[in-house]
Amino acid sequence: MGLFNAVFSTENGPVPCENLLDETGRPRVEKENESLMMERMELAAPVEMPELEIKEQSETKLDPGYMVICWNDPVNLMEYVTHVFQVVFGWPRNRAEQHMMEVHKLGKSVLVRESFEKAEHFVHQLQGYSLDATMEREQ
Amino acid sequence: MKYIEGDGESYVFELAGKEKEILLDLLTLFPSAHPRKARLTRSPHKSETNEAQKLLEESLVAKKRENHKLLVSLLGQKERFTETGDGFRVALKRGEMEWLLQALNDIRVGAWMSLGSPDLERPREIELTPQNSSWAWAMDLAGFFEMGLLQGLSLRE
Repeated sequence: MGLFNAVFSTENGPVPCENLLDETGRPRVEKENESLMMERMELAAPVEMPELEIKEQSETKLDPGYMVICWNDPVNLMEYVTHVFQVVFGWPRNRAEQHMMEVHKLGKSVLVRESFEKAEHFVHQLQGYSLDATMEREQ
Repeated sequence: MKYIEGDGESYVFELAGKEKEILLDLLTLFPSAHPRKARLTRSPHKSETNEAQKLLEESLVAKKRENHKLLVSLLGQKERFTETGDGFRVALKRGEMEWLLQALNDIRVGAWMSLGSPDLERPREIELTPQNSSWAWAMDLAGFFEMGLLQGLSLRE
């Protein structure tokens, strides 16, 4: 979920995200010296913050995370594995090599953490290249 | 197999005379008769992914079918291989290289499965017989051609 889709709701009703910021992107507060403002805040009576409830605008439920894991095997060439990671994930070479070395030395590498659908998509892509890749639910 | 030149969209390779013949013979092994079993997850609690597992299997079969069609089409284009003094040159588009890599690796992994999935870092584990030696050759040759293609991609990048 991106913040730009979030709607902050208070007891006075919903407040769209964009209304909380001014045209420069700063929070809508009086334009005065920030340290002076901080002083005022310290002296002021404590203010009870309204309960903020971030509502997901998407209709789907929040998915648990899924890890896409590539497992080591003796047959896939290191150069090939690096290439596949670059193609499937759009990674630069050094990042792809790093994950390849993890697979090689540690037996596996967690490549990405995604929603079910995205993780499934990546596993399809990786297995299309005959890599031993699976998706595992995050604990 | 040697990378000659490329512009990011098209790559030219040179194959020695015998290499072309070997490559074309090798590609007839695609799709592999002994593919690795596709599994979506290693989790023991698979009930939630049963449908997704079926989808993966179907997707891989469809992909191989598509790659096979592309391969047959490529191999049927004799004019793609232009004869030089020392062998042949072949120009491959970027997308063609990807499905060629997939096909070669499918052959390599399938050959490895046919050999009993040995640990290749311990070559003594592989007991070659007249029946299985062709799989060992297929596995090594597929790797050779994969590296040739990857060399072209890495040099260009």
